Amino acid sequence: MIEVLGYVGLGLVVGAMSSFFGIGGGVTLVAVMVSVAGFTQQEAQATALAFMVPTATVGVIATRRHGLGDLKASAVLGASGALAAVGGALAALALPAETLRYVFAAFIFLLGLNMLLRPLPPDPEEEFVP
Amino acid sequence: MILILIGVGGGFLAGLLGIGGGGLMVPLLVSFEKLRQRQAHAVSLGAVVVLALAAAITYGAADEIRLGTAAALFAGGVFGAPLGARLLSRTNDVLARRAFGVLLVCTAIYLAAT
Repeated sequence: MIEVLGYVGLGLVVGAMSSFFGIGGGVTLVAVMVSVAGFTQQEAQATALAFMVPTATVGVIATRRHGLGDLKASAVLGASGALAAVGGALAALALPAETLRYVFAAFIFLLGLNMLLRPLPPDPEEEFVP
Repeated sequence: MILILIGVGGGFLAGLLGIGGGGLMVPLLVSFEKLRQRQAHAVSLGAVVVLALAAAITYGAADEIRLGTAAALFAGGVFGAPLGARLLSRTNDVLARRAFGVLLVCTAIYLAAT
């Protein structure tokens, strides 16, 4: 029971991150399931993806309400990437769990550095409201 | 054309790493499609629905999904998602980007160290 409540709480936090960061919150979710709950890397990734489908859908509805998003662009991205997603999943399933975990860690480290260090593009339209 | 390439890259990573693919798509949408950070997040989120579904079906066929856990996570996530969207529409782009970076670096170090 406590375990279930823990997952509900984790889902709440990650759901908020999902629509805030646009990354499905999957990074944190996979990390927690692997290090705290003892999932294999593949199980964690599979469960994170299963969680992401309905949660991201709710997130899209919410961001649209705030006037953000572009469904046509999202559809082009989704349609062109769906087959690649299947290929990526098959590759992950073929790798040993430990190897996949290091690939995962390396990728999100580089990604984080990129977000931290890359200079921001000029954005004249932006109106900052504190 | 660039959108298609971004979709393929995001899709592959979504399947390989179980992260939805936004981690790659958001910075690329900002750089190449000149979208603002918040708009890129929102566009990526829409694509994640499709990419995550395609990848989840593949993992599901290999019996790797723990459905009970996913359902419990969603029970919380359904309330968290609107919360994040509200923050997204109120927070400036710089803050969102830096917070994103800090989160990812910390998670990577934690994972590699344990």
